Amino acid sequence: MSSSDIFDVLNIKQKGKSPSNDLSPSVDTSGPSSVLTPGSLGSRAPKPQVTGMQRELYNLLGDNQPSMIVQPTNKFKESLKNVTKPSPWTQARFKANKRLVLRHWVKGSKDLHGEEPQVSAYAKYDQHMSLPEFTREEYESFMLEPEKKKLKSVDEDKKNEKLDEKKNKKDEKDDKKDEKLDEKVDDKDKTKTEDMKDDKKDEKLDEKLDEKVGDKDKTKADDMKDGCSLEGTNGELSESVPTEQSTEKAEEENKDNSKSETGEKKDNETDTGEKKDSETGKDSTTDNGDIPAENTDTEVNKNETNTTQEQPEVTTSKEEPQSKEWTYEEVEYLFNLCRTYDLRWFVISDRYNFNGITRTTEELKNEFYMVSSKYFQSKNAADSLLASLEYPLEMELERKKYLERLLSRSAAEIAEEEALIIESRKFEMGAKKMLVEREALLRLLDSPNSDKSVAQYLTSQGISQLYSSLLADKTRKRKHDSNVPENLWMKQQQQFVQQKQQLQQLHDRKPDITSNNATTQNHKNKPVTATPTVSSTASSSVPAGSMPPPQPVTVPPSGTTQKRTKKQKLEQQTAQKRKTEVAYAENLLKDFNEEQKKSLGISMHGEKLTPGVYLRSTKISTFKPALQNKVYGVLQELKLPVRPAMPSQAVVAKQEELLKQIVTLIELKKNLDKLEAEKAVSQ
Amino acid sequence: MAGPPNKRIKTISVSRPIIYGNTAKKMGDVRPPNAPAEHTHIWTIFLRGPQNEDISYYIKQVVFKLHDTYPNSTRIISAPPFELTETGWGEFDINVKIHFVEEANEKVLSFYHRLRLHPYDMTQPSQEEIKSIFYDELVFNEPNEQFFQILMTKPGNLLPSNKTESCPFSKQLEIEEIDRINDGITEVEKQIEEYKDKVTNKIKEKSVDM
Repeated sequence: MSSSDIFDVLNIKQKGKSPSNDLSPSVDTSGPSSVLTPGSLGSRAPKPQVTGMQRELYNLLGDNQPSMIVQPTNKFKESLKNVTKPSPWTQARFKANKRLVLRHWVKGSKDLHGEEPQVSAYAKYDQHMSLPEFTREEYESFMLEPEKKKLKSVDEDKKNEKLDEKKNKKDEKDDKKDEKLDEKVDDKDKTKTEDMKDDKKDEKLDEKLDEKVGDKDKTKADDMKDGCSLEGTNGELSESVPTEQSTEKAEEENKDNSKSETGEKKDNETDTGEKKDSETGKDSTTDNGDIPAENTDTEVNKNETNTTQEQPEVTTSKEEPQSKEWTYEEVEYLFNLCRTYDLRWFVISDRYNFNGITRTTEELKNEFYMVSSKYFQSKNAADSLLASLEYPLEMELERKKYLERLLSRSAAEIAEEEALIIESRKFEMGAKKMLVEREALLRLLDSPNSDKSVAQYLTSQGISQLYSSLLADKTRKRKHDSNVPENLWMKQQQQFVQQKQQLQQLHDRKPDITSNNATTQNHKNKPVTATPTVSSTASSSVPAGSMPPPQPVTVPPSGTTQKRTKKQKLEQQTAQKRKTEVAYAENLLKDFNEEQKKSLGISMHGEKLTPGVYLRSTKISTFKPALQNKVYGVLQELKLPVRPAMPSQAVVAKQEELLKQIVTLIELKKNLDKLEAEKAVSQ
Repeated sequence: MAGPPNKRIKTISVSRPIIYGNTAKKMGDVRPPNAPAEHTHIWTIFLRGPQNEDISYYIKQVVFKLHDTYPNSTRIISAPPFELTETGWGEFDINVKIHFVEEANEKVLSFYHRLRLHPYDMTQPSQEEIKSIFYDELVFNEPNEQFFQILMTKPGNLLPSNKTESCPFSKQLEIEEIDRINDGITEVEKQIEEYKDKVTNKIKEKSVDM
């Protein structure tokens, strides 16, 4: 179906078509399946070559189509040109351990890796623990008198070394055997049984198991060995142990060798098994699937034998006075287990079965560490290892008890505990927050002891004490006037005035009563008016009629420095300087009485103000904007203007006093609000 | 014996009261010549002593910086009386700069005065003349020797003892002002005591809760 058909169906006239094209729809209608004729296509307005879908699209759009040119652009990035050749993967052989050879997929061609099996990269992790080995004599000797037997143990060490050498030789033999075994499974069975004869304990049991399962596939037996061997010991130990004991002394050396080989032999077996798997390929999968079933089979077998043999064994073990005494045999058995399972205590404890004696993991551990510590002590009393071999049995038992209790909690108990923890944490947070807030509060109140710890105020007694002290201390400084330096200078001045008075009295140089009066008056006023602003003098309102011309009289600075402590040395220096200055000023003003001074607008101040001229009203304290607004609010409540109508010295001083009080009030209000909020939160 | 003339005398400050502000009146039919038609008020800004005493012995000149729309908006008055009369229709901030005599060696003191033309309190019968007058004190902190001598020549800090119509700023007003503030202080102190009690109780409660 073409676009013209659609136009027809929808009954739309194709506009703007050239008259020659008028024909084509009619033609199209006649034949519904007709395709656009080449003529109609050719008569279209000049367009880029359109074909297929695009052409249909253009037809549908008609002549009002936007000037859109579809350019075949490459949307996608060009594929990488330098693609490396796919490298081949080969299934190469590798040595998992000494004997076991497995296959794995590795990158690279077959030639690259060669035929020789590579040593696995993980081979280095195939490590086993080296646990001490000892004979019965050694054991007895170091268990009894670990101190005396040092020399002997050294000899035994040498023996051990010899044994090691022998062992190595045997290993080599084994290796050779293994190669043969690869070829013939039957042969291997034989050699294996030969090896097994030397085995002790679990290994022997394994072997027996194998024999019992004899008919079964070799691989399955191997697979199961680990699983079954120790379970089987229940019944079989009773048989093996007596023989062992009888042949013990004779076979001591052999025993040692075989023990050390246990692991290797196992590897050997699994190795062959694996090889068989890989070689017989298809069989292995089915075999593996069967294993569980057959495993149970063998276990059933074993259990049967066990049940038959267990009865007498149990009785014998019960006849024996279930003594927890450790015999050499048991210790040896324990050490073998430890070696086999690399000190994985839970496995050891699980597998442990020696003459039906049940021992806890802790007991096993205790014995192991005790024996080995004695062993090392006999060898070298100053061994650094000894410290790590201490095993606090009681503590471990305690620990386990606690752990058990912890794990055996019920869900409800756990939930309750968690809730308690959350609760306690809440309390802690609350207390911490309160401490912080209280500290801030105390700092705000500017208590004299605020730099000390808050703890002392946490009791009700402490709080009441603090408050009594706070209320008593009316002279404490507020924050906003802390920038005014301490009026050290005033004291200096007083002292100086006193001295001058004395001098004047002594010399009676100028018995001017007025000046004396002035100075004494000044002196009296100063301690009273310790306000931050300039001290105001007496408020007598009598204007001085006549103006005595200023007669600066120079009196050499008469004050001699008083004795001071070293701490005040620095202060003294600045004070000294100021002193001379004040002396000079005093002299200038000497001839004026208070009234005259007042009328002249002269005032003495002991503060360090920047020299220069200013309008007094500009020196009225201001605060931070938020505080300022509050202060203005309070002033408005009091119906007082923000700026005093007459900012004279006395008025400004009063205004400052008022502002100070207002700020105190505002802070108190704030504190009260805070306390209320705190209370609301705590509730 | 005076020290070096430019050395400041420490620990001494000398204050001089001043009054500044403006008066304003509506212009009636009597209009000054060359006043623009849109101007409705005639006002005068001034700086003087409380009793119109001489202040020219320490003030050299006063500069009024008017709104930029005025021609020659910076007006320099270099002889007493330090005042300026203008016409206008709007209120604005006038920058007042006081230049002191050269001996003083002081910087120019600058402050602002908001020109007031209209009565803010509409309930009151419209006054003839609007006044916006402020009292303040010029404080010369640690003046130098020479300037100190100049200041000492006149008892510039004197105020009339009683309020008068022409000069409300007096010792009487000062005392009234102090009394008013004292009342405020006692009021605030009363509140402070109240709040202290409240806070103490709260903290006691808290400590009991704990």
